[in-house]
Amino acid sequence: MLFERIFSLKTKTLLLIPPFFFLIIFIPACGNNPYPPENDQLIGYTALGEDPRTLDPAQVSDTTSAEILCQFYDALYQNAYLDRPYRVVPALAAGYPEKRIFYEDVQEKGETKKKARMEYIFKLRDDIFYQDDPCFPEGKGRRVVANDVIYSIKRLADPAVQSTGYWLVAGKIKGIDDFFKKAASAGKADYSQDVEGLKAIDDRTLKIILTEPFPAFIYVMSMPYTAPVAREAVEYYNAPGRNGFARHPVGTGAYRLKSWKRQHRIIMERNPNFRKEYYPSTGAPGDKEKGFLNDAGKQMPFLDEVWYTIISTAQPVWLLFLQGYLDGSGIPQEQFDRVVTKNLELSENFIKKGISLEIASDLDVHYLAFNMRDPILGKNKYLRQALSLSYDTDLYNQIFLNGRAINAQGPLPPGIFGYDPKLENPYKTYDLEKAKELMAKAGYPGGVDAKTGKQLELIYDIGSDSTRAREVATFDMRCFEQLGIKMKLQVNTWSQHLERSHKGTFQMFSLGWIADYPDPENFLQLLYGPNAPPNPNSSSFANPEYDRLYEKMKNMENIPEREAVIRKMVEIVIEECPWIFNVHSPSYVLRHSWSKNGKAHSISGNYRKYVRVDPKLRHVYWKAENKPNLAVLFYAALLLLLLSFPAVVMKYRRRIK
Amino acid sequence: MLNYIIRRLLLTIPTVIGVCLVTFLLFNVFASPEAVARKQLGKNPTKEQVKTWVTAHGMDKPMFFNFKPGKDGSIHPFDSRFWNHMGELLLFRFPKSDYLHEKVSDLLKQKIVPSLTITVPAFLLSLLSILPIALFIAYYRGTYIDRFALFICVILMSIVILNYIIFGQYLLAVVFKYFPIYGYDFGVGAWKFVFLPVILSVAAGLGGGVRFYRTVMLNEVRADYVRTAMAKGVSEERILFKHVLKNAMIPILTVTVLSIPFLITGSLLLEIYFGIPGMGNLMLNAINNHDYPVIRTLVYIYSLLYIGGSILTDISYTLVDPRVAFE
Amino acid sequence: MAESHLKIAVKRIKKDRLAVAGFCVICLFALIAILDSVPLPRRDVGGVKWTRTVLDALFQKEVEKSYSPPLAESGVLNRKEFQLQSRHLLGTNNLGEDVLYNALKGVRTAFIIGIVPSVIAAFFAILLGLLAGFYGGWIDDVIQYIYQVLSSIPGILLLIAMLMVMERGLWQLCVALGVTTWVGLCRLIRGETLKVKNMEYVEAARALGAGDLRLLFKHILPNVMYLVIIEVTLEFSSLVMSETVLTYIGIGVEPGTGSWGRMIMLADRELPNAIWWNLTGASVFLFVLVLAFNLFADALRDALDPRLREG
Repeated sequence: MLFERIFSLKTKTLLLIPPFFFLIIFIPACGNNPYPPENDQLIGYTALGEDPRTLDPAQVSDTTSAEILCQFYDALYQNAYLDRPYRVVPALAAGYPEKRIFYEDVQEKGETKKKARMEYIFKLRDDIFYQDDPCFPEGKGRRVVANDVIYSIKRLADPAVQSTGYWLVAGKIKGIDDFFKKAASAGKADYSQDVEGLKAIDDRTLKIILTEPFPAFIYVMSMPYTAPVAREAVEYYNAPGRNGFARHPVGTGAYRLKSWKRQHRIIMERNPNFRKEYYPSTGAPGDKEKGFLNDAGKQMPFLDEVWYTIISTAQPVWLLFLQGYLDGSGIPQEQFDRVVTKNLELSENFIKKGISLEIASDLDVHYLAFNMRDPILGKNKYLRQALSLSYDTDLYNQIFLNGRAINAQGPLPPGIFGYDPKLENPYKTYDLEKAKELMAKAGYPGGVDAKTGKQLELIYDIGSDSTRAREVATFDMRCFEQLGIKMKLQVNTWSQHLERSHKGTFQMFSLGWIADYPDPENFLQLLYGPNAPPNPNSSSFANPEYDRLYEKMKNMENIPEREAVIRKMVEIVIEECPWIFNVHSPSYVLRHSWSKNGKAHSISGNYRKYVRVDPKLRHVYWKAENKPNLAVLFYAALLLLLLSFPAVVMKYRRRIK
Repeated sequence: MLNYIIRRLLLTIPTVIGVCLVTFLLFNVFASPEAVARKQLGKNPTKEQVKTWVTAHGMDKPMFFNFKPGKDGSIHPFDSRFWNHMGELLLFRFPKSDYLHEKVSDLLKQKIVPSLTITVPAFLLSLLSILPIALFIAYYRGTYIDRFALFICVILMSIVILNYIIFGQYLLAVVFKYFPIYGYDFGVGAWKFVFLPVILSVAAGLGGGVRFYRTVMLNEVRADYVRTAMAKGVSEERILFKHVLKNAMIPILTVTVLSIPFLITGSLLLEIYFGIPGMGNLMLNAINNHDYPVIRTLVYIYSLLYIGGSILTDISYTLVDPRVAFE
Repeated sequence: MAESHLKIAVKRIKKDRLAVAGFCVICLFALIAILDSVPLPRRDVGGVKWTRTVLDALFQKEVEKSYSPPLAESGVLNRKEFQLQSRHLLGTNNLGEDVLYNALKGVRTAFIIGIVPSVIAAFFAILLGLLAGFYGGWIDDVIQYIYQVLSSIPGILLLIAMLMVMERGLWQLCVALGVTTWVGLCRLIRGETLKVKNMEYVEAARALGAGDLRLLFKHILPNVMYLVIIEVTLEFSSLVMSETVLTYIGIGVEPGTGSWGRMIMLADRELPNAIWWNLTGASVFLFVLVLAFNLFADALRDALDPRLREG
């Protein structure tokens, strides 16, 4: 009897105990470090929002892909890491190009005109090699030559490559349009066909002829689109049975791809074939104090590996950063008050943890575009100006951007040539009185159409259904509704959004533009008539005077005359009001104490090579911040024991019965 | 036995074809190829690029029958969207993902294991916890313990799984720092990341599971043979563990065996919340990115799994209960 | 015949005190939902015309600037304190909206999501289940084939595909959910129809010359109705909870409609900031409604289950 009693108790409890026992033993052993041991390697840990779409330089158009790609591929020029305002310095090129303007006779409509052309002669370094890869004979990366650059540029015009970068050179390089047309009709490009404006004088010298003077062309040679790629690599990896060149970068940068597990992690490792490049010795004012010049003159890259963990939601990024498992992070909007003080400095408890704050002025502008082709908005300047005056940018800034953004007065952001810090846009103040006056002037007193007596109804489009888009839309619509009009929200998917924009069937939506390169032309082209959709001039703004000035400004160097032309253009835009300018957003980047040389940038580039890490500091922080709370476990176990007591008692009572 | 399996499999063929038909209708009749192309081509694609994309993906071919001569000059009447779709799925020649540009079969190979590392332990742990608890409560049926436990179960069931995940992760990983809050590691290192999702998954299913199995057990307990056994003096534990459990197997099996094939598909929510690069994550990303090749392949595979699961369930019935004959 | 069963069922339910409590809670929530469905005549408030419901009139509060804890007098935005214009029982969210108000707005959505898809599903299930069970033969085969195919496709994928085709919206979501969940009930009804059609009273009615339709709707349908009622009430909780999950992964109702799922989704990133009231408000409302329905539905099922009728 006794035996049976004990035995049966055992069978029951034996089944219940293992799971809980298992947990309690292993929990302390777990710890929350998501990385395997580093083993003396210098590793940088960072996060990425999603998998890059492509690692083919000709196809990269989004920032995620650019962030990764730029570490693998260098172009002829690169953004200077420390200097501000932004400028380009040589990367694969040796020094700066020779430029010369010459004149050519051209037959146009039966007349002979003199057209100005510009010629660039670039020289390449002699110590630039591709990374080692099986696509090369014996797997050794070969020297980079001028023909590689020509090949890369031709790829932009090849429909089979599906490049997103042809616009960069379209109409600018002599002969490229012909090449493009022939390639488009054949369905793919014939690389043996010569382009008149692209000549390799020898392996190290490249001559490019432009159809018109375009001083900003050097920026074009700093973009990933023009990074030289090896034809062998493209053909090798695009062969059937292999995964495609877009998945197998073979580049010239400081790092090369080690592994890429989709939706999980990208690991890049030091490229042994990287040229000898040294950390800059000069920088912008304030860099020395921040310690950005401590590694001056040392050879790069400093890190052995960089780990990009793909994290699609924002909250884990922040938490992992606080725990020390990510070297850097932005500041989520909800956290801003805790992290940054009133004076926009880092708060006490963050400074104590050794975290530093870097503020970079983004080269961007955010705005609300009106569709100038819309019958209601397009012809009614006063209506647009009234809407602009009813929009409270400062409140928007307070709510959504923690007050850290700059109230945009015009299309150019600070840091770009032509930006006027004293510019005051008379329609950019928040003035409801004036707005209502203008509404009356526009024919809609109190928001009601004076002719029909019906309330004016406007449609606000958004291109995604994210919460943020919705919140912003709600805010914007509320501003306009103060004028007595009715606002309707139109939610689109991104592709519907593009369609509506191309067909011109929207009325207003909010947009942003980040500079591709730091020249004012990159912003002012957003309002250039011929750039109507599918090109970036989404509002289809077409003002003949503006267009004329644009064509003039485009070809000027950064001289005072250019500034005057730009000023006139901005005045036109302000008065015509095709956009409600919103903000220029600065980016706030937090860094841990062990991540050195992390200056913030607003244009993508090959910046990982400048970063250094101090593993000792990192491990000290990890240990201090991540101690598991074992006391709670103890109390929980106690509680469980207490709870099971009545059950045991009852069981024995039953037995006795 | 083999005959039965073969017959069942043959009978599922029309169902599988039906599934392919439905997915074809959904993904081809209702979504315009140009819109899909634009979504995949990123910033401002040109008309030519859109056209190239559409042609490369065979989406400009006619819907059902193709009577235009192809590149080699001859007519392939079955080179149409419909037949290509059916062939692709039924012959297991899976396509390439639009968004990730990798073959779907490769993606599947990468992502099945992470899903399994979560679902299999969760499944086993669930069974190991729920069954004994249910038996335990069945033992104390009618008492305050039973009613109390039942009430707790209903309360646990009424908490939506999101709350378990959000609060669970916050408490256990962020505040108490027992587990990594996010992420995964392939190979042996995966165990660290598996704990939290598994624990939360089991906890969320506890309420409903215990209640369900308790009902099943009690249904058996009310049966005649139990009364007889008790009258004969067999101990309660013995009755519960040996006899009731065995007879309750049919409803238990229905639920458990049917869910086995779905262990591969992974839990959407858990994978997204904890960053496990598994099948659920793949599916959700495919949906958000309008990656139709991945979506239709996944739908097809899930359907196959479901059908496989129901066949497995039927077979397991007969193994457990000889009274259930093959039809 | 069904009515006296109903009376017995009601009596049984009354005995279970928890179920009665659940029923009262359900009525309270239903009242809130009704209040939210009755529109008030448009009024001019500050020059802008709003559509308001009775609920809005009772509970809508001024929008503050940003977050504030429950029952606080001031909130903090960008390190600056700002005075609140009124007391908020459950605090305000990041846009300054009253949390209690948002939670109350979610009640109507919850009820619609909890009931309408089941009703739509029931429509298909009854129609097809009755036909399949009653006529048998090739009709039965075709209907069985249809629902075999549909049930083989994972629900969520079917749901998403349908939503990609239709626009996003509460009613579209209901239709999609209804269309993807009718299969289970259809199977049950078909099974029950098979049982009932051979019963004596049905044979008797047929002998008296009743036509097929009459048989179906007057005699068989009332006897399978209890399955429908049980199913509709049981499904309520899982439908409401699934709306929450669907919204979280991005597929649910459009924003602008009250939704607890949306509140929870936003609250996710607020927790480390010690902002707990948004998440708690939505979760508690959801929990109470689901719990009430669970308690009530259980009692209802026990009461209507014919096997327990004799006991």
